[in-house]
Amino acid sequence: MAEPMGFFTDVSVCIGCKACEVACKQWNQLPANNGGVVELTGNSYDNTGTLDGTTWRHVRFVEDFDDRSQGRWLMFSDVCKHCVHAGCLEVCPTGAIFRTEFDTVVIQADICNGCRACIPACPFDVIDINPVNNTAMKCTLCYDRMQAGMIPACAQACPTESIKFGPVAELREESEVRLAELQRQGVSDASIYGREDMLGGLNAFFLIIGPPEWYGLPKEPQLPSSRSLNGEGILGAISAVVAVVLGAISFRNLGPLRRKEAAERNQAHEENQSQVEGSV
Amino acid sequence: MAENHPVAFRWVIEARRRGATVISIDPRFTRTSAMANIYAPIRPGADIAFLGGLISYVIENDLYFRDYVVNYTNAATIINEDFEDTEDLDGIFSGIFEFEGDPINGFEYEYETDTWQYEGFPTTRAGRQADSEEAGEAGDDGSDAEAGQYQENAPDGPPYDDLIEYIRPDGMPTEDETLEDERTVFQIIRRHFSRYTPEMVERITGCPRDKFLEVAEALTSNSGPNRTAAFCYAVAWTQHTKGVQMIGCAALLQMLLGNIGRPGGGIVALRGHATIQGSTDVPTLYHSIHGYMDHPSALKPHESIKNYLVNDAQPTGYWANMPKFLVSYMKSMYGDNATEDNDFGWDWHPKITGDFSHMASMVRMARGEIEGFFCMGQNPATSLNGRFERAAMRNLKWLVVKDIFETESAAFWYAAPEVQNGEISPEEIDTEVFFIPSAAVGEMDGSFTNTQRWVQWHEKSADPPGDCRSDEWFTHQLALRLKRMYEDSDDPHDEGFKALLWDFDYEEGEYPEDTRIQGIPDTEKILKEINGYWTDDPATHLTGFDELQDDGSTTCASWIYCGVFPHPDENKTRNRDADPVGSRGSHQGWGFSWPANRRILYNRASADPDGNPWSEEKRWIWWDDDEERWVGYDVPDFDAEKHPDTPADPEGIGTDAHSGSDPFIMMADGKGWLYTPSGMVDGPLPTHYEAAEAPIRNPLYSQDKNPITKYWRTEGNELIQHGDENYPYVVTTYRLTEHHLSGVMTRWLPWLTELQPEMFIELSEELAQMKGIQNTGWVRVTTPRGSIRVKALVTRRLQPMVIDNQIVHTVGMPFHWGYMGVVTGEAANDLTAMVGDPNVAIHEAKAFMCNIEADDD
Amino acid sequence: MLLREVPIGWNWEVYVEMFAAGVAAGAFLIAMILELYGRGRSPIARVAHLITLPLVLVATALLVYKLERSERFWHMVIQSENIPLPILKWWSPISIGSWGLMIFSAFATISFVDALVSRGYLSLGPWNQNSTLHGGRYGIFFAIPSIIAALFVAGYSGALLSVTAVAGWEDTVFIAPFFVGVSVATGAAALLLIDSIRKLTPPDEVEGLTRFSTLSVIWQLLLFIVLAISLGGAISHFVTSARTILAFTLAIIMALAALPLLYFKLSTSDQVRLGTGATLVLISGFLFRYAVVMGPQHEIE
Repeated sequence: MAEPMGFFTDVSVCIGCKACEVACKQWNQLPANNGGVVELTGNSYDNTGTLDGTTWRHVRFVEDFDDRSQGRWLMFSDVCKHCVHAGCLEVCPTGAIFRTEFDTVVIQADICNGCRACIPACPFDVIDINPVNNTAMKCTLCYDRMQAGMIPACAQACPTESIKFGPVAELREESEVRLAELQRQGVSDASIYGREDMLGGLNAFFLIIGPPEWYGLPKEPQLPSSRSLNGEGILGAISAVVAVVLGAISFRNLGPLRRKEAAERNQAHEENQSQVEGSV
Repeated sequence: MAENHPVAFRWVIEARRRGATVISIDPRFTRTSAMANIYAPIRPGADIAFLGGLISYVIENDLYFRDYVVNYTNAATIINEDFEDTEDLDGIFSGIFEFEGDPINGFEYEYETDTWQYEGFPTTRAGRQADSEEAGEAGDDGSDAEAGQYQENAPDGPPYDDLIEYIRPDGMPTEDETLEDERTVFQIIRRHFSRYTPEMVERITGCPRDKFLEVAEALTSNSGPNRTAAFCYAVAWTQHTKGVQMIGCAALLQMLLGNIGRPGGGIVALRGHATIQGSTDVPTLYHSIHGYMDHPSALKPHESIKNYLVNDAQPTGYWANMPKFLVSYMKSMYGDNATEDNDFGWDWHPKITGDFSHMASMVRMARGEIEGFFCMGQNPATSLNGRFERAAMRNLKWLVVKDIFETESAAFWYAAPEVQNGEISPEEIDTEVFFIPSAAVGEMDGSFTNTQRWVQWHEKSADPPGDCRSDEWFTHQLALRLKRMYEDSDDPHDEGFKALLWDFDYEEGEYPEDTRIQGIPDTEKILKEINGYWTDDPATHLTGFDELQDDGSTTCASWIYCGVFPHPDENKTRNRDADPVGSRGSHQGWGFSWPANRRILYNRASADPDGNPWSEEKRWIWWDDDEERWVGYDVPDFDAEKHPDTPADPEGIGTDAHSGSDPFIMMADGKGWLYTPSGMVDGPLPTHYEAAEAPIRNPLYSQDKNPITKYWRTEGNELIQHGDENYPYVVTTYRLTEHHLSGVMTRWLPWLTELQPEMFIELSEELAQMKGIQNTGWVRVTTPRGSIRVKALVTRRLQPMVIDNQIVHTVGMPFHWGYMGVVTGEAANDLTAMVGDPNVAIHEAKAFMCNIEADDD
Repeated sequence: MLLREVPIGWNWEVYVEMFAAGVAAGAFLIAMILELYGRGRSPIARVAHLITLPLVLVATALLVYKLERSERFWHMVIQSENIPLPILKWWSPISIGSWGLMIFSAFATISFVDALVSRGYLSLGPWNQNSTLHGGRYGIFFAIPSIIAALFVAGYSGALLSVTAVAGWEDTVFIAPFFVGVSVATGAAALLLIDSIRKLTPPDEVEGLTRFSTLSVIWQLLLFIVLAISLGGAISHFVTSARTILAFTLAIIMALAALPLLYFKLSTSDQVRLGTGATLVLISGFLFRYAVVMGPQHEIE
């Protein structure tokens, strides 16, 4: 496997130009929502709303203006996190989702059958069905470009290098330097989101300012299986055993039925039937 | 800047990373403000009050860069004793009189600039001759006897050296280097801005005093020998009735701080379009010809080249070479037909007869005085006062719109709001509209000139689809057809067109093979003509404008571009060699920066008077004693071998009149002009006036608005009086990152429309609450010019301000929407008025008044 | 957990499928328990043998239909790039569920055929009317794996919901146990309902079935209470719309109302009473499925 590659997206230098959204859609040939005719959301300058099957980069706008003299307008270019322990990959029944040689997580459109299991499995709400080919889709970290030695479209388009692409190890070092820099400058609520302690590390991780909730990020994302698969299985089995026991109790008075008896019964049944029919 | 120039903004981010302080001054908290270290709110239109406050702060606290100011600016120059300032005349300068010219020029008053001049050294013909013309299109015909005599006595050319000698004023300006004389520019400025205290700044601009002082502190502590600061603005700064003065005010401040001609300094104008700079250099503007020469005018004594030069040439400073620029330009226009005997075809050259700027032209059109209109790369139907302009276009006989999509201007006759609502029916509109589908930029060869004056070539990547054709194809074919049409005409009127040199077809065998389109001109040929060549030997190109001649032996369309194509096979705009990352340099190998590949204009100012860098940190150009020339990272914007100690020659013409420490070589006195004795029609110093429409009277003077405003008093263009309670809200218009201009190129692209789908008005929570307006609810916005219905975007990024002791609400609207495209919406410019800057005739769309009401279904 | 913005899109097909598969699993389970008691050929068992397969087929058809790319349904069990190698991810509820459903269908098919054979509609050599699987020598060997398969089908869909990052579903591990309860209760009710119409079953079996039905409804309600308690505050993610609140309320009321109807056997109108009780249990089970599946999704919409 090649070196793990990823994104480091830095809120502190994002100007919310959305070039990443457009570059992504252009490269990946993703359609605009409803042909581009959508309604104003009234939610700051965000009108695409969320990551989904056709929006693989999404810029969220956070207006922090309770105190106008300290007002902040934060822009956050969200993307698939390419988790080292990926929920989507875990639940995918068809093998459409796989881990690439760059340690990224990619959905293969020719295998996916659109069962939607990955959609609710992703703790970051990244995946949705792409209405063009009706398979689940999300950021591929431009797997095709990477294979050709190019950098992903969004990172290429980003004018302020808010989206940095590179080996994850290098990006992590860079992000810590940047974080220290910001904290020195007094941005006390800056933090790195997606270090190694989160789902084994997010290969697309972020420098955020303010709490994760501002950006629609869960504080403690969890892998589906780690949370409940085992417990669920055991409890389900217990419930099943109870059901069998209940059955055993309910039918405890029954003795075996002999074949002859059964045959008689069947005969009786048929007579019964004809009588019923005759009486109609 | 982040909003409209995100790609350029990357360098601001980079600078911030390296410790630069970024300041954003804006009525709204924008995406630029989001990245700034300091955000200072300001009421739209109050910019000069803010800048004036900074100037006053700099002067009163002795924070100006004294060595720079004394040596490189006209701070020490003594001004005419008859000059009277706004301090003396309560808001106006000496020399005002009622305008008596053609009302189409939009003036009510104008200034006579005699009293503004330097003591004993007139900087203009006006000063030399006591003639009253200043505004180009303004004034009488200038034919009074004295002027006529002066003109007559001038020696003719070529060569024109004697003529330049003849018009040279005697001596040089009087100076007081102690800056203490009451009539020095410095003292005049000090007095002029003494009213602009931090308290007054807060009262007028609404910016809290401590924010203002924070800005002042950051700006001054980052200026001086070791540091420089830059002012960046997008073209919105020009869209005021005092736009030029605003920018001039910033320049004044920058010169006081020593931030001009030095790396990291300057006034950075971020243009609205790709290659707007280029369209000023090789102009699409009515009032100038190539290379910033005034357009020949029928209102001025421009009857011959001689008369033109007597009027327009500036004998001291580099402009003394104007005869060479002009004659070479005439040769590019008329080729072999331009000879010394026919005054190089001067009579063929069109002369303007007044204001033909956008606004004046639309007023003419409204009056039915214009038959036909080529509309390329603009969209007047949703441009300023859209309703008025659409009505004007209904008076046209024909209209040609060439664009990549069917624009609002192309569809005004069937899709405009007044047609849709039945006010006008298409049958009543006689205008014949021709829509010419255009190629997009990737579908044509050509060059862009960016705001830093870098000319960069771009190649066609694919043929345009269908009938779409590039602008150069269209213009070329139109010219060829017109020339054929006029070929046999005997009308003297058509002589000029017949004489016109039009040689842009590909040479035999060179036509590109990778296109299905016939008749494309050779765009490099156009650039070759712009660059210039020796008339007798077109294969020998000019390598720089110092080779230009005034006798017709050189042909050069735009002297400032001379050197861009120094050899027939060397198109410098194709160069793509950047300096290595981290090295100090000016990227000489990347494209071509006019003039002469200089990256920083007036860069002589980056060294001290003795020729040494002001500081190691800001080293750029310096005098090398061993080499006996100016050396450095850039091409010196100075005579390369002129020693710093060279004294000015009081009799000399051209740059001989300047000393070795006069960096501003284009200026008559070689100085940076803090005070502008000529060139501005509305005063030698920036002065705060309220916008044409404002919520308050001017707190500084009894003169409320710029007395030299351009305004057309005509039906459908009524203005709101200052303080009119029916229109209590300040409104400003702007662009969003997601769209471009009136949206003609972007509202057709779903990838962009989904990002900003609907027209909206931004307003503060407080105002929304007061007016019962819900977020995303409908709002009716009204001015006397029009009324539009838009959605509300309620945000705390906008804020009510206390202005002159009253609460003032500002609302903002993007001007991207119109009635065509994938997404449509009502046009903000249906609300604006035809009122604007007197110097450049740009409308005032960034500060006007309106009323708003909730308008839900 | 934050509110999701992307709809999950598991709608009517999904809860109808879960209901149908649950009824099938419950009914089949009863038939197999009867098998263990040697009553593999009883009328109830035979009804179960006959209804399980159609119900499973309906459920499978719904699942395939629900796939955005239905023609690729087989990708669930076969590696589409390495045909015919199978794919099984035991930790993925959908993957293992697909296998479970497939195995369960196989058992159901055999039982279905056996029911046809026992009636003489079919005869396959040694497998004929006189020698059927159920009630025969090998019936018991068949019943034990069948019970496991049935219970798996009864419960895996609950695990599927829990193994998501969706507020509500992810907050409890009691959906699978609860779904087992619902499956058994509705399976028993379905058989009871059919029997109340056909009136064939000997009293001892009806009594057993009624008892089982009663107990399973109680078990189901107990599991629901446990589920609700385990959710704590997160129950708010289920009661998100008027529709789900109504569904939960009706489901509980109907289940409670069914209990006395099932438990107190009054002589005259037992059949009607049982039929009514069984119907209530079925509707209640359907509403439970609906509310659990749609509640958290309504929140997203």
